Amino acid sequence: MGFHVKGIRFSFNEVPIFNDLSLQFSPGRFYGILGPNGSGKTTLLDMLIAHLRPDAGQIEFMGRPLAGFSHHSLARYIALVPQDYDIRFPFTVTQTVTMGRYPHMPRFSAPDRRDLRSVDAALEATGTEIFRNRLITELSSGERQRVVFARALAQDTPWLLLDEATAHLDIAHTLGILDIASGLVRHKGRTVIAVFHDMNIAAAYCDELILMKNGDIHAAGSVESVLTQSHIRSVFQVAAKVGYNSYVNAHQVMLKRITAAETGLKS
Amino acid sequence: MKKKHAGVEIRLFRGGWLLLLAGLLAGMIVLAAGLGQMAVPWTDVARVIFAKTFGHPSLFEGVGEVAAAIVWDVRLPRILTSAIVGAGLAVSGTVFQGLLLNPLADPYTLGVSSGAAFGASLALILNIGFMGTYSVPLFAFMGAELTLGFVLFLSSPRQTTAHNLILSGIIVTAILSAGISFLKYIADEQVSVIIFWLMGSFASKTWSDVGITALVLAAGLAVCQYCARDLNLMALGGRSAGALGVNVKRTSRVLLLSASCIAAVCVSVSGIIGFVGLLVPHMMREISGPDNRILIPFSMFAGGILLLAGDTVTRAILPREIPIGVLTALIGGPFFCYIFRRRQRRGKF
Repeated sequence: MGFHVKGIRFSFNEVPIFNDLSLQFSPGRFYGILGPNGSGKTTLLDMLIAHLRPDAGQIEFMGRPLAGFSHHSLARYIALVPQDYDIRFPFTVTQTVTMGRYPHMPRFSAPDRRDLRSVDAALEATGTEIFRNRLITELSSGERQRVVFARALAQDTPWLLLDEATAHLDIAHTLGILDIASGLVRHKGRTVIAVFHDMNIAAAYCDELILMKNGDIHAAGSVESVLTQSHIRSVFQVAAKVGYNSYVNAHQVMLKRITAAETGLKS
Repeated sequence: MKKKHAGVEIRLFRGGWLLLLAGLLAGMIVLAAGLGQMAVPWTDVARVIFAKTFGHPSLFEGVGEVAAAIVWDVRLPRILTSAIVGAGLAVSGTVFQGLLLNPLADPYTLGVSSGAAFGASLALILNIGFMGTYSVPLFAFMGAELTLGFVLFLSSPRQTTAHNLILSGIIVTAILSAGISFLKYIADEQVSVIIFWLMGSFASKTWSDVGITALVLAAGLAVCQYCARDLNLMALGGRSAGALGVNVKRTSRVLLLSASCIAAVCVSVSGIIGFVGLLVPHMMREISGPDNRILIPFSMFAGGILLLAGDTVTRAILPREIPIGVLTALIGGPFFCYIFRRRQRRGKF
């Protein structure tokens, strides 16, 4: 019933990104995608929201080809929190979050009571209601990122895709946002697919991890099976010590740069 | 309870503004029709308008036949054309700014004006007259559309981005400007006609000009208003807009074409009139906010008011008629500088 990615191939500006990528996402789980820069994490999300189409292969969503969904109907199932959220015009915070309701609202109507309730709930959950009447262009990048997350919450979709959605946030807000996302998974049966840079945060929140390298899946599965010393070393070229941490109640990683002596290379 | 109240208040506030602008435009049309070398009281103007539109000749009593002819056959076509062209340029400018994510975009960013100017110059220099007085507007329109087609072609080998569109527009405009200079150079005595056309004018406009511009504006406005909500989402960038249910590629094509058609028809009947399409959306965004569903109608009325006022000043108030394109640039340019400075100080650009 979830996503079924079957052998997709894709190149961007003649640079091959995916050669033969296959994977599945099942509903009701918190997925984390890890990988170095340029490994195809964001492109994979772009494929899932049908922003980009594969050159070959197929993606199925809920048992149907993804290409058969219109953008409009897809927007009722999948919400995206992008990493770039430059908003050029001075919309208020409330207006911006209300845009998350557009897929549910008829084209020419004003938001009804249910829309307004969703918007209020999203503002409240993200702690952005205190600047609900300010202009989005006047906020700091961290504040703006929370507003964009609130918009995705207001969109109220079974699938939530986070593309480094906490990149500009301090640690308290990062954990706050991820707590909301994980609450949606645990209590409402929603699915979250999130791109992370921080392995420890990913390990603390995710049910399953996908480790990508050069447009391919290096490892996928439970946190402890993916976050191993050898996987991290071959994907990120750093040394790691991995172990269960009872304080976080998850596997955690200690990282160290591989010294010149270890690799035999000049660093 | 309290929040809902605030929402209703805002909607009333905006509705009030919209009514005010519409009323202002209607009032100005009646007033402007009375102004000129021969003054006609506004009550007579209103009577003529009612009599002609609803076919009640009895209302004519007391209004001289000459006055009626001047108001209906000479002044009103010009007045209405200027209002419609102003409205069209403002709507088109609003859409372009939203679409290209650039507050400095205007209807001419994609080379529509230079294409029209080149077409018109060509028609003037070759003395093409197979369509009578419509030859020049027709050539101008064709020039604008061909240029737009070429700009779109140039900007989209792989994917059309706002950046590519703007750059392509600049390149094509530069080439066409050189072409226009060349035409002027070889034009001999025709050169003054070309220069006058380029500076823009509403003199001797007819009811058919009113009809054509009104038709294109109505059609274009319907499309733009239909897509206005999608245009809001496009301010978030293509990726987010797509994730919120917009078919970005199709919607931006449709909006580009409609906004450009409006601009092309405006340019082809009136010549090149700058700053209306740039300035009006900026001024209106201060009142209406950036929501295009409200901004587009606001800009439409304000554009109509502004250009009608400008044309009335040069037609009836100044001792000698100044080309309207020169007037809008002379007033609009400095005013835009002022807005630009003020915005920068407030960090809103």
